[in-house]
Amino acid sequence: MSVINAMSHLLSNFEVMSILKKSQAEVRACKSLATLSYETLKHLVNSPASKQSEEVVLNFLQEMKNFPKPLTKAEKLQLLNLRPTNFAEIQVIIENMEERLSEAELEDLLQLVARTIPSLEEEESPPEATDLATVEN
Amino acid sequence: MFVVSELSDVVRVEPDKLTGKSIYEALRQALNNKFVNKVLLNCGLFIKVLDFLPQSSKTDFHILPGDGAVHKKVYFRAIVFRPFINEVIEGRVRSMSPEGIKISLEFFDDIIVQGTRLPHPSHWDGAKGCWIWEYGADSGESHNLLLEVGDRVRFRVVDEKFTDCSPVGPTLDTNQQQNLPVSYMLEAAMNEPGLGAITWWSNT
Repeated sequence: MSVINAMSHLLSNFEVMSILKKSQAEVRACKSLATLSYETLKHLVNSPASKQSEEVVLNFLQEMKNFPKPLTKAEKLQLLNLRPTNFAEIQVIIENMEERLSEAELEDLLQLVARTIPSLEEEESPPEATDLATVEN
Repeated sequence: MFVVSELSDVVRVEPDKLTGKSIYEALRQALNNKFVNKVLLNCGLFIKVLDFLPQSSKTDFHILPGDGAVHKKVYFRAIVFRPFINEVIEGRVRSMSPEGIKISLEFFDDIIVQGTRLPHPSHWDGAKGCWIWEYGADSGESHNLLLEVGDRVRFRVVDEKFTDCSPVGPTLDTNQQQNLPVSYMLEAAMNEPGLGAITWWSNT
């Protein structure tokens, strides 16, 4: 086995989750993948990724383009994966935040995240639970 | 947290695996069986095959004398778990000891936070068996915040360590077998505002 490119792209939690959910046939054919896929989904179901969809991600990235200060790819990815809701949570994601963003811009960014990415608490819908059950079988 | 890696490998597909499906379907299954849930050195934890790269169609199929299986060199992309340095991730406390805490992501358990990388000032409480952060100790008004097993925590990845665990040959000492090195270990930190138990920072 040889590695051609160890890190060709970054994937968001949502992308991994939807790929794993779509590959049920493959999962059934490989026992270790069934376990790993079950555990990974179990971890991701508790994260904001479980409430996201393709439109949510596209919409978020589109809105980020209009944001006055550019953020790095890694920062945008972590905003999507973690969905920070307050100052303490967002300052660990954005490097040198106090130098780069003014207080008003920070407030705007928090609102942008809250508006475009659905929160985990909103409407406890059961579809994840049924998906997990099928992985288990 | 997850990345796409481009890899290549020679796969062996047994003849009975070829019935009723395309050769690439069989190759994909063989690759999954070989790599899923394994750590690739300096690459990360293999999750699953994503797709094949176009170069794969240029290599030949080989059948070796005395073996009915077909061998082919394939180029493919895979989903690999490999957080970048400085990435912030959420996980669950798996266990605690005076040295520090261990964090689990359900599918990956080898994440450690050393005691010195916990919020300052923290100390280990042997009686309760947990780490305690004395929040606001500098201002004189201190509150003890406990970290317990099962708590959801947020941490920053500060270092990654790959160890080559390939077999080195027979050893006479049988006890050594039980202490296999961890092939992929992440070192994490919680010593800045915003990191640590999620409940510490919510609703502020």
